[in-house]
Amino acid sequence: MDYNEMLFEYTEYVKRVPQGCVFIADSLREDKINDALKGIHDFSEGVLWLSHISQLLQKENINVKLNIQKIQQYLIEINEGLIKQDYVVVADMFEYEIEPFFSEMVSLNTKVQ
Amino acid sequence: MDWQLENAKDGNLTVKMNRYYLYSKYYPYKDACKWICSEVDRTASVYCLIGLGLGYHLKALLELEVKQPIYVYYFGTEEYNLFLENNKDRWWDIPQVKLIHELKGLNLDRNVQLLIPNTIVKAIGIDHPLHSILEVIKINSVSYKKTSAKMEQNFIENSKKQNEFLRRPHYTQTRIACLVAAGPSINETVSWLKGQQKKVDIYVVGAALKVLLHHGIVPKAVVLSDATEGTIHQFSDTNYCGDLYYLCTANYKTVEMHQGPRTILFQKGYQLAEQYAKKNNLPLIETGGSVGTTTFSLLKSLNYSTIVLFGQDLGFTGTATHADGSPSKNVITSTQFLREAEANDGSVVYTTAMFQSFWYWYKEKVESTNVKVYNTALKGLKIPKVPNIDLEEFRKIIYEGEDING
Repeated sequence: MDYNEMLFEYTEYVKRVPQGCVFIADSLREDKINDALKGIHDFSEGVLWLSHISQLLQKENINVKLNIQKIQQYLIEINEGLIKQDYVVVADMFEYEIEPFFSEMVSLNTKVQ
Repeated sequence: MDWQLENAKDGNLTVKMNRYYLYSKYYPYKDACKWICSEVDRTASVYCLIGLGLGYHLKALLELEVKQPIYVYYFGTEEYNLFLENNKDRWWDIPQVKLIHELKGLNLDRNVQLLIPNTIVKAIGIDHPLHSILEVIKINSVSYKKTSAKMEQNFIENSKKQNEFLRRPHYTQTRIACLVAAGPSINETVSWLKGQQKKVDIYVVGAALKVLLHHGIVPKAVVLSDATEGTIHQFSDTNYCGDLYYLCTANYKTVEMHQGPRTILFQKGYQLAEQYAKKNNLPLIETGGSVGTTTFSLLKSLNYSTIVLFGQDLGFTGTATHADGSPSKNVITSTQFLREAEANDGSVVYTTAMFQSFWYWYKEKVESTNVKVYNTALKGLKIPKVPNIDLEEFRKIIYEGEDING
């Protein structure tokens, strides 16, 4: 895969994350716990992939701003909520923290383009 | 109960009950509305909401302009006072709404909808006297909500088929019924059945059918209850032609795959099934939430006086929840959400909330029946009044049955 393609895949994936966050939050609030947990699993894998791709792109001086520390903080809070099975906390994180975070990334990427 | 009020991000109050948030800490009332809107069944005759908290769920329910009576159960004076202090305008003080703390003697219409926020079940904790019953109801209602559309479609399609109907025999079955489920103990005990299959009546759940066939055991009947297409794999490529007993809401495509005779069953608690059964004077089956418990009800309806449980572990050691060769086999990778319970051999094994709900069902049914029930899952959950037997004892039960019946 060349780096333009990689950047395209990266940007397209980031665009889909906010919708995924809303799906997870809604599923948790509607007691569809299994669906939400699958979504959270996919989200975690997705974040790993984004982190890996952003490092590769940055090495080629393609600037993709991914605040991985912030995402890691979110993941820690989500994990704490999951351990306790406090799904209200987890739903809140996805709906009111992570979704706006990625929506802003999408909007910044769009402005750059 | 420990109650902690907090300011939510939107300026309203939210509350923690025993360190669990009852509502969002961002938009608590919006969160309550979302849940109520997704839960409410407008065809219910009465609502019973569990948990009063700050009253957001109750308020959301009234905003839907439902006309039915609403009972709201609160857990204690502290919760009640917390609610009063934060709802001084008494918007809730109307004839339609009754705040209750005593459930004994409460006579609700059969068509009641119990509204149980998931967070309440977590917050009250496993030691609360209401925890087990609320959890069982919650598990069953979530499961029903997930599959209700499919269940209806299956009911319609299955009703069109050529079916036998369940007829309760007028005599007591003299042979022993072996109920075979797909728990891990069947890996060991399947050989017991192989040796005795001609002397007992084997009723197997769909998830264990291939396990038996693989060992050269042909059951008398297989039982199917699940509405989803995941059960197709249980029957594919088996060529099994024995009897099939299936719930009217079981997956119709899976039913169609079966080559042998088919008997349709109608379950209590499902309106379409109850209506059909009443109209045609047919018996109703209790499902208990699983194909294993459905099979138990079936065997009681067929007048078996002795039932031996195989593979009905309801618990596990290690990582496997089901037997080798069962399409239902799951591998547990984390013990985080598991519970510990006593096994038949006195050891401690893992179980899940769902398995535990089936255990409670068995405990209640065994308590109130004259049927002799035995268990063979040494590492399965101990069910009170269900003795665990080994191979020698199993043979003895069969021979004693033969002696009595000549």
